[in-house]
Amino acid sequence: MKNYIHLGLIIFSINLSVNVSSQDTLWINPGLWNQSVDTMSVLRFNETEVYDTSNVALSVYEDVSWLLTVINNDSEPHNFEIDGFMSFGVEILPSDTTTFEVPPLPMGTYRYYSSDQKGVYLGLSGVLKVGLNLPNQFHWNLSDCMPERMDSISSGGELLDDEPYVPRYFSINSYTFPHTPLDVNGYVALNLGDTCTISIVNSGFMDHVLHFHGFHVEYLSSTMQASRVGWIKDTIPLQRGEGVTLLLIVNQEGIYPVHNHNLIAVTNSGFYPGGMLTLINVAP
Amino acid sequence: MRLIITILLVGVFVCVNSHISQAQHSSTPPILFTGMEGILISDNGMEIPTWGYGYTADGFITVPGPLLEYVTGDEVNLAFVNNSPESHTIHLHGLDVDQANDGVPTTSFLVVQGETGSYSFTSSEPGTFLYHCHVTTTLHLTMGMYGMIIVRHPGGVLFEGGPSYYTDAPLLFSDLEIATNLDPVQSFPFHDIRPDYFMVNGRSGTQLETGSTGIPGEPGTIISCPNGESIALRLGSMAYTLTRVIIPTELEAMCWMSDGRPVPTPFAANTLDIFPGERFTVLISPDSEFDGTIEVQSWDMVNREYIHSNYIRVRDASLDIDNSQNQKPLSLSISPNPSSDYITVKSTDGSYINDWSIYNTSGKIIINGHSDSPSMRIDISLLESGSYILESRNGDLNYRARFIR
Repeated sequence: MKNYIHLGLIIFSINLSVNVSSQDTLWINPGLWNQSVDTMSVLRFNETEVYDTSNVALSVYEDVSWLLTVINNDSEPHNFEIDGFMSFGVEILPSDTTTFEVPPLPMGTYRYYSSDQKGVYLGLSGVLKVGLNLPNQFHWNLSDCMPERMDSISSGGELLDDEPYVPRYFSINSYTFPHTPLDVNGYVALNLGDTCTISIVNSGFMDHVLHFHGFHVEYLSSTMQASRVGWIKDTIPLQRGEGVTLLLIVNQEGIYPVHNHNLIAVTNSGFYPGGMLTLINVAP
Repeated sequence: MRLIITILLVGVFVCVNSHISQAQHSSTPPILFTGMEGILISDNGMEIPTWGYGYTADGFITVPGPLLEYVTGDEVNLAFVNNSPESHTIHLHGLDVDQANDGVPTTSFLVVQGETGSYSFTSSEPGTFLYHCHVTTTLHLTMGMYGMIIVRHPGGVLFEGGPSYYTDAPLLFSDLEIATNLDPVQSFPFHDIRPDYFMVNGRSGTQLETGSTGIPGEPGTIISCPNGESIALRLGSMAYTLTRVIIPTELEAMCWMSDGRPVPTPFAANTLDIFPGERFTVLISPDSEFDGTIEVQSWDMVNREYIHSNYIRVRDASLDIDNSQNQKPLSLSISPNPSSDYITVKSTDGSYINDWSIYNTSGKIIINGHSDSPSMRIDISLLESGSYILESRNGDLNYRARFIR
């Protein structure tokens, strides 16, 4: 673990200002996701026709409708939805392109995803940021998965109702620790006194809870716990499908973990440490 | 009429009450010791191996560990002696300490066997916090290496400008997977740890009802609350499950703080979901002659399925406590404890002690005997220094209590 932290320090010793450009076209790309002893067939929303392991984050203005084009490179149709706002879904046929209008959304962080079975189980789900203006923005797309289920779905099989769900991988933007410091969108590298937003969605099949070392953060939005806006906390629950926006002011220098405090989720196929664990690195 | 409300809680915090005067002053901070040979007596009498923290160097530990108490603004230097065979740390969960004192092995420091570590920080914010070992955390937590921290604000208020209250009731929710604790070496892989024993302050089931069965000799604590005053429930989770706390509406529960910060708008907290690592501070204002329970539900985080409920008794102490249903006899009391020469053992319900044995931490009988009396005196001067369990058998009932020589 230590070696990887040092790797992260070297790579990201320069403060990064992460900006996700407004994206008006998404490609649904099939690909492979390698983790530990497993290689899983997955689907991703990418910003080009080239497969990338992470779903791209969308960033749009608040209270303004927008046009989104989705190109489906998969062999099956998919339904595009946004939690709480586009529950009707837009179907995109295989090898087809669909353009549709997304309704105006208030400031916040939302999950956009494919609601069909294959899309759900193969990880077709991303972060939508609305109306966030700070120059320092990060996003964490949380996910959990059970490779055996993914293998079954990707090979055209069906899930058994009585099959227990036993996730073995827990990821942030498709990265698992110790590789999370390589993720420029999720690894929070800032200078002392900086402010940033962190947009988080839970794309997994279970609830998660993230604990911040060294800092408290303020809720700016939540799609499922709106009453928590304004709360200042160090431990943030994320229900399945929830999106939250957090404000972080880094008021002390150093390296501090952020990790899932359901501690089965800081493992990779049972090995500790791993999974949903990343770092905040604050330079003097 | 003076209203006295009792919350039948667990002995762990009774244990630590004797240390409160030590802990409240930063000039004489507590020293914590680790141990990996603890035994948690379950509600059905099973002995579950635990690791944890304690106040004595002989390896005597409690689950949860001692309650650490500070005052807003304290400059704290928390010493930590690791006499156990594995490395450990203390992570001060929620106190926003600097990197050097964060208790994460790779970014802070590791305390190996035989070494002493020291954590320095300022308890700048009042509230409810936690501490735990951050070495192979998934395993060390289920083994029991955690405790609660309360930072009180001067003046008897929760925080500056916040409500006043009479006293605290710390409630630390946790769980464990028995198979993991029985054989931690073979417990890999960790992703499928599924708790099957659920605790409030280290106790479960009927242990919470009477504050007794099988737990090291400490009776339930009594919290007094004058009429019109409030009790601050200090709720925190070190569980692997979602904890749902259901508080009777008659207690007028209001949540004022979470994770060591005031919430912008206090809210009624009759049902409160507490995820692992979260804390809430809730004030309750019991009415006269109230007698009811706070239900503590445990929910599987993976499949969102209900698993188990514990119940915490809250009642007006002026009511006849012996009327409670299914109440089990109270356990043994031992005094003085620790002792170097003699201990006096009493069965707190007046029944005869009958056959008794003293076990060392390896489970070996060191002394045994018989007593046709509810009390007796035992010479322990020849025992080696350490912790022991005294067990007596009275019919089908086993009584246990722990003492330190």
